[in-house]
Parts: sequence; C-alpha cells; structure tokens
Amino acid sequence: MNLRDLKIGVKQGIGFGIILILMGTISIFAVQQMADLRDDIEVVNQIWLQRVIIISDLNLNAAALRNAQLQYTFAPNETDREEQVGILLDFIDRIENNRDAYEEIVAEAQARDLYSTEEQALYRGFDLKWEQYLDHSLQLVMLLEENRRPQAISLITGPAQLVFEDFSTDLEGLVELNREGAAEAAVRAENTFQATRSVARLLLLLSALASTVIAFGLVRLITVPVRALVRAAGRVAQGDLGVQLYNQSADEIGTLSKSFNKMTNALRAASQETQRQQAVIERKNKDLETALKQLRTTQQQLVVREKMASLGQLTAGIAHEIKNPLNFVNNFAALSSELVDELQEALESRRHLPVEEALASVQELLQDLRFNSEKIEEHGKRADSIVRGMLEHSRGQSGQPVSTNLNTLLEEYLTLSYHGVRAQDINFQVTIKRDLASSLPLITVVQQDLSRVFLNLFSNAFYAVQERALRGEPGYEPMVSVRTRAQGGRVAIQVQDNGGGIPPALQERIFEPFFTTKPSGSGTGLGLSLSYDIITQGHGGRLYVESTPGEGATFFIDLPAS
Amino acid sequence: MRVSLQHLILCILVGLAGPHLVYGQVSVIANPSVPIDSLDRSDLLDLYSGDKKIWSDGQPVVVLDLKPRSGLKDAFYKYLGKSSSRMKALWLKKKLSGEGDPPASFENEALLLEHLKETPGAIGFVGFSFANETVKTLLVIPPEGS
Repeated sequence: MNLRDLKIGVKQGIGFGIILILMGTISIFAVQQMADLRDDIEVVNQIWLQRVIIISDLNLNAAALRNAQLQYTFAPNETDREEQVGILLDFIDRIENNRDAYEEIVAEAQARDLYSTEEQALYRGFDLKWEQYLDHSLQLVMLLEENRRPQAISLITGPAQLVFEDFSTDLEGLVELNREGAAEAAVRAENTFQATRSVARLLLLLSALASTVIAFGLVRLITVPVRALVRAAGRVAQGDLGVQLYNQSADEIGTLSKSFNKMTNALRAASQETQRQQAVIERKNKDLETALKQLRTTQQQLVVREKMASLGQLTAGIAHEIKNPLNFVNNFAALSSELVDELQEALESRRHLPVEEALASVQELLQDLRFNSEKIEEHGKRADSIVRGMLEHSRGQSGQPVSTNLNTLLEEYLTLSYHGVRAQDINFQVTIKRDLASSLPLITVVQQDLSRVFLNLFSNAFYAVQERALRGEPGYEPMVSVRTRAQGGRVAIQVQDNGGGIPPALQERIFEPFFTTKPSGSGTGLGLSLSYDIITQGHGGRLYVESTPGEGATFFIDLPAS
Repeated sequence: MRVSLQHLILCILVGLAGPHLVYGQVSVIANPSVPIDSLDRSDLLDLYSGDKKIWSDGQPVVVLDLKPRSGLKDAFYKYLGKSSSRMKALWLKKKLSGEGDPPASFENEALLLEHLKETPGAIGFVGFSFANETVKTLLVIPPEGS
C-alpha cells in the first residue's frame, strides 16, 4: 500500500511513534549508563575506599597496640601492667575486626575480579609478618611472667620493632595500592560519565533534530494541502470555478480534495446552466416588455376609444339638444319675419287709420319682435353652451374644479343620454323618475369628469333596461331613476334601473378595466373603471353597486360636500 | 576395633587412589592415651582455641603446632576455619588474660610426632604419610578440592 494513502491519523501516529521510540531509546540508554556509572562509583566507594579505610585503621590500631605493649613492658608494677592488658586486648580485637572486614571485602572484590595478585601478595606478606609479631608478643608475655624484663625489653625494642616496621610498610603499601585503585576507578567512572554525557548529548541532539523534522513533516502533511484547499476555496468564492486540486492520495486530504473538485465541477455546470437560463429569461423579458408596450399603447387607444364612445354617445344627444333651441330660434325667427311683415302692414295702415292706432299697433308689434329676439338670443346661447360643453368634453381636458349644482349637471346629462339612446333605437321606451333634493349644496367638482361619470352610469342603466326589454318579458316596464340627497356633509347620488341586475360574483369585477358583459365590439369595458377612478381618486368619494339579479341594479355615488 | 576399620578403609582408599592422593592430606593424630577415637571440626577448633583444656578422663589437653609456614600448616588451619595468624592472636589474648598457654610448636613433623608419642593427652597434626599405628589418627583432612 502506498505510504501516502494511509489515513492522516495513522501517519501522525507513525510519526509520533518514531519520535517516542527515539526518546525512549535515549532514555533507556541514559538510564543504563547511569546504572553503569553508579556501579562504577559503588566500586570506587565500596571496594577501594573501604579497603583504604580499613587498612589505615588497622595500621593505626597496630601502632596503638605496639604503644600499649611498650607501656606494658615498661610498666613499673603489676597494677599498671594489668591496666595495659585491657588496652592490649582491646586493640587485638580491633585488629581482628579490621582483618575480618578486609577479608570480607576482598572476597567480594575477588568475585568481581577486582583483587590484584599484587595486593594478595602484600596481604600474605603482612599476614606472615603479623604472625611473627604475634609470636614475639607471646614470647614477651612469657618473659614478663618469668620476670625476665631485660630480655623482654630487648625483644620488644629489637626483633619485634623490626617486624613491626616491616609489616607497617606492607600495610602502607596496601593503602597506597587501594588508593591508586580508587583513583583509577574514579578516573574510569569519570571517563564513563564523560563518554555517556557526550553520547547522550549527541543522541539528544539527533533525536531533537529527528523529532523536529518529523513534527515539521507531519504538520506540513496537513497544512500544505489545507492551505491549497483554502486558496482554492478562496478562488471559488471569488468566482473562478475552474479551480482543481491535485492531491490524489487516499487519505482524508485526498478524499477532501476529490470532493472539492466534484463540488467545483458541479458549481461550474450549475453556473453555466444558470447563465443559459438567464439568457432565456432575458429574451422572454424582452418579449414581455414589447408585449407590455403594445398593451399600454392598446390601453391608451382603448381609453381614447372609450372617450370617443362617450363622446359619440353625447353627439346624438347633443344633436338632439341643439335641435331644440335651434327649433326655437327658427320658429322665433320665422315669427319675427312675419312680425316684420305685419309691421310693414301697420306702417302702411297709417294712411287710412288714425296715427295713434297705427303707432300703438306698431309698438305692440315691436314689443313682440323684441320678445322674439330675446327668445332667439336665449335659445341661441343655450345652443352655444351645449356646443361648448361638448367641445370641452371632447377635448378630454380635466379642467378646473368649480362649484357646481349636481342636480343641474345630472339633469343635463340624463337628458343627453336619453336622447342618445333614443337616437340609436327610436322605439326605445323608458320611464325616467327624478328625485332631486332641492337643498343640495353646491360642491366643488371637475364638471367635465363628473359629467363623464353620469353619462356612463345613465347609458349603462339604459342599456340594462333595453336588454331586458328585448327579451320580451310580458308586462315589463323599463324604468330608470335618479335620486340625490345631502347627508351630513356628504352628497349622495343614486342611479337605479330595473334591468337584469348583476350577479354577486360579477359585482366586484365590473369596476375592473376592460371588464364588460356586452358582446365584443360593443364596449371597451373601461367606462366604470374610469368612473371609479374619477370618483374615488379625483374627488375622494365612493362608487359602489347594489344589485339583485332579475330585479335591477342601483349605483351609489358618495361625495364629500366640499 | 574402630580404629582398625577406619585405618583399613583409608588404606583401601589410598591404595585405590594411588600416590596422587597422599600429597596434601593432613592427619590429625593423638597420643594413644587420648580417650577419643575421632573428632569433627568444631571439636578440633575447641581444642586448638584452648576452649577445651581437659579430656573427658581428666587428662589435660596438650595441643601441638608446627612452627614454620607450610602447605600442610595452611591446609590444617584452613580446615579449622581460622588461619594460623588468627589462631595466634586468639592464643595471645588467652595468654594475656591468663587463660592458658599457646600450643607448643615444633620445627618439623618428625619432632612433633616424637613429642606426641611421649606426651599423654597430646594432639597434633602431620602429613598423612607420617601417621602410623603408634599414634591415634582421629581425623584425616582431605586435600582441597576433593
């Protein structure tokens, strides 16, 4: 299996394991070396120095023994001699103890091969001479027992002295040997220590280096790919979706890199798809905009058509209206013509009639003529105002709000509407009821707009009753009524018809633009919508309907009084 | 009877082993008047330390020693468990305390043997070859390593 493909945890474990093993090895080595060192030191202490101490002690004890022996020999009386015996015995014991201790250590040293033949020879030498000295000592006691003091003195100061000096030299030699041995052992220990220290230092350095390298490697194992990942993610965040990671190992980082690549590929595909769809949407938007423009144009055209239609409705009515005053004008003009003829006759009659009679009839005729002229003027003005009103209506300008008597306006446009309908269908019969409050306050309105509203409501009412009439219900009598009231600072207008009515479902919808129940081509469907806007937005009022299907409909206008 | 048997066995052993075994063997011998026929190491130590001074029959114990240092002497004292110089220190203490004299020491085995034969209650040590029927052999110390 490739080393790269191990899991990150495993790699780390191996790395740390190696570090631990290194550290462990060094520790074990150090401990072992310490143990060796301790052994060396122990050897120095126990084996060598102990011997030095014991032999030195022995030497001192021997010297003390000799001293006591001298005292013993030269003791002036029995009592003093007895005293020295105790001391002698003590020192003999001590020396024996020294020997025991020494021989014990020697046994151990021999076991560890630390007892030289030189020392052995020296000790044997000492042993022999010591035995000799003991022989002399025994003889000394015997001589003194036999009261042969001079011989005793000569023994102790002569041969015994020589033997003593001899074995003392041996003992000193032993001490020196052991001191040398100790020194050598100490030097060896020191060397061991130095060597150990150097090796330990080196090992420590090496393992520290190795650990650093391994730790560094482990960290890099993770940080390098992670940084690559972070950079790649950063680029993706900035919009570069072509980023790819190239880590192909089977560990967690490799898996992560593969997932990352999959993700960016998916993002790229999604982004491309999004762009494509966006292009489609943009095209569609353009199409929609074009369609919208067309609709707006059409809407404007329809509004114009509606106005034209209402204007058209007006025209017939207005034509009829104008006909009336014009009839008057014609009639009065004709009358005036006849009156002029009569005047001329009256003037002619002065020939055969008294002047006052003639003048009186002239004056009478002139008065009639004036009356006719005034009437002609009156009706002419009326016709003029009707035409002006029509012109203003056709211009479609909203005009200025003026204080208006709504009853008058209603009346005017009711008549116009009625005549308009009759112009289209001469046989159209309808009963019109008026219930106009006489105390209706003047309110400030834009007359051109309101007149359009009234025209619309009336023509709808007439259309409704006409429709029902055409169905041929027996006993059906079309009726349209208009009513005005003043109610608490507001003016209420009702236009009621007994046509087919409006189903509840459609009552909401009739104020919608382009909504119509008339067959296509008959109406724009904008009439009520425009009326609604004029009343609610133009004048701050309300326009609503109540209707029972089969019985008729009532339209309510509610306007603030000022 | 017992002496004869022991002697016989030893002779057989010696005969079997040959002259090689004779060298190094130490015989602990005693005057025939001594009331024992054998002894062990601790008995021997007691006698040579001066701790046992009287035989069971009331005879005084006379301990004999060889003067010059030799392989024989070393072997004997090694067997005892105390080197001769150690023994000597012991004897000096005893002497100083007035508890007794050290053993008499002789220049060679022949002289020791002669004195032993003449002294009742005497006990000593010689090389194996010196021991004969004129003395009691109480113990034979085998050589080192056997």
